[in-house]
Formats: sequence, C-alpha cells, structure tokens
Amino acid sequence: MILLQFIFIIISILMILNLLVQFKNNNLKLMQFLLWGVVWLTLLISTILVDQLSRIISFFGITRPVDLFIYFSLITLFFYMYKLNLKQEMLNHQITEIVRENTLKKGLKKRK
Amino acid sequence: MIPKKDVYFVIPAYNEAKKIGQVIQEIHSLGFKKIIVVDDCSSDTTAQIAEDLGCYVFRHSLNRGAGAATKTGFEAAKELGATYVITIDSDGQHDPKDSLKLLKYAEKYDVIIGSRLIKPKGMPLIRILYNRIGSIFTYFLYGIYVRDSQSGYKVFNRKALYRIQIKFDRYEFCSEIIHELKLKKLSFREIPIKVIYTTYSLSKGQHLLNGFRMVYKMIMRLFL
Repeated sequence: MILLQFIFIIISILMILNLLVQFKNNNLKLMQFLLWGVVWLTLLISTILVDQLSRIISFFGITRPVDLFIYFSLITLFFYMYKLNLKQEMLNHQITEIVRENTLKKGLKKRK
Repeated sequence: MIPKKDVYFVIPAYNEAKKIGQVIQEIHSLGFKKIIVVDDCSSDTTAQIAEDLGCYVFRHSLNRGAGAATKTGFEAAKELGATYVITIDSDGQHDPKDSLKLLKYAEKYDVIIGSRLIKPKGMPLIRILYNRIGSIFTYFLYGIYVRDSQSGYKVFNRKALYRIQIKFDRYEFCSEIIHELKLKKLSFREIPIKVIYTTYSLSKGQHLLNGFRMVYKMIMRLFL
C-alpha cells in the first residue's frame, strides 16, 4: 500500500465518522447524510480495492479509480452549488418581501 | 383623455439627492400631483427632498435594487388606488414632458414603453449597443422583441399593474416586465422618447459589466 492510499483511507474513515456524529446530532438531513456518505465510501472503497475496481470501471472508459472519485466529486460540487444558489435566491427574495412589507406599512401609516 | 388625478408616478431612487428634486418639480409643473418615491435606502437626503416636495415617500430599510423598489412602488400605487402608473428614472435622464405623449396611447394599450432606441439621437454609442444587446438577450430568452427592453420609462394601466409580477430585485426586472407582457398577454406599444444624457446620468444606471451579471441571473432563473 502506498502512502497516498493510506492517507486517503484515513481521511475517508474520519469523514465517515464525522458524518455519523453530525447525523446523530441532527445537524444533517438524511439526504445530505446519504449523499456525503456515498462520496466518502466511494473514496474509501476505490482506495482499498484499486485493482478490482480498475477492471470494473474500465468498462465505462474510466482508467483509474481515482478518476471515478473526481468525477463523482465534481457532480456533487455542482449539485451543491446549484442548491446554494437556489437557497441564496430564496433568502434574497424573502428579505426583499420583509423589507417591502415594512416599507409599505410605515409609508401608508404615515399618510393616514 | 386620461385625467391627471388618476395618474401616479413611481420613481425608484437610490442616492439621487442631486437630481430628484428637479425631476419631481418638472412632474408637478405638468399638473401631476401624485408621485410615489421609493427610496432604496439612500445614504443622502433623497427621501427628505421628496417628502418636502409633497411626494408619497416609501423608504426601504435595506438596499434591494431598482426592481424591488419599482415593485414596492407598484404595491403602494395599488393601495393608493392608482388607475395609471408611470415609472420614470430619478437621475433626470427622462423628460417628464414625454409622459403626456405616452399617456395619449395608454387608453388603447396596457403598457406603453418609452423607447430611447427608435430615435437614439444624442445617445452614446456604448449605451445604444448595451441596450440593443439587452433587447436581443430578452428576445433570445423570452421570445419577445421590443426595441428598448431596458427602458425605465413606462406607463401601465390598472390591468397591467395587477397582472405584472416582478420577481427580480435588480435591473433584470426590465427584461422581466417584457417577459410578463408576453406571459400575461398584455398589449403594448413603444413610443419614442427623448433622453437627456449628462455626465451625471451616464454615471448612473446600467453598465456593461452589470450586463453580464444580469444575463447570468436571467439564465439561472430559467432553471431555478
């Protein structure tokens, strides 16, 4: 086992343990827990079973197991970016609505 | 002929203390008395000036953008019982006298767009280019073409006032209104207006770099 594999295994295990603690403390929703769980498990498995995985993923045109992890991570990152964008838009909209409501209330009250 | 008492001007304003007084006085001199100024959390005396000149002043406690301010103005106009609403920029680039011309057509159409690009005389080339790109993008994204989609000088009748839903907070709302015309099947017409470009008004409003952000937001909104 090369050093890089060892580091990846340690990181994956620590992240999975952290995920479990966060989920237990209700800091993560089930979907988030599952999604990130799959990400770190993929890294763990692809690091341990490099040779076996290489043969399987070569059917899909992916030559190295680490590429599988990178593709998966990219998809996850884009998905989360999209989700954050959505949330930011929603929050912005809500702030504007609150500001408008207060503005109209104050403005119209002053007129009466 | 539309009675002037039925017409409300909506002026979204942000740090326009230098010009807003002049704009309000010009509107008053035309016989229009009902002016709604939405101060978008200015740090200068914009709101005070408007209030001293007898306008209905609505002040945002946070800066939310021209689109948000215009929508607040629309909501206020509805509450105050407006039959027609004219939106006009607060930086003095629009000639209030043109509102008389626009109102002539307001009985026949739901929305009248004051277009700077029908006779763009005196308009800086970069602004012409910017606005043309804005209109092309609006057409590309929403499938409706108007010559000046980014114009802030418009007349809305009551039907349009109630049907148009502004969701964008910033300048994207100009294109959004054009989209709404199509979605809500509102009739409209573009009428040429005069534009007064000064160093001051050129320093305000939309810029090319802002345009990229606008396009990004408009594209994102299609998917969100």
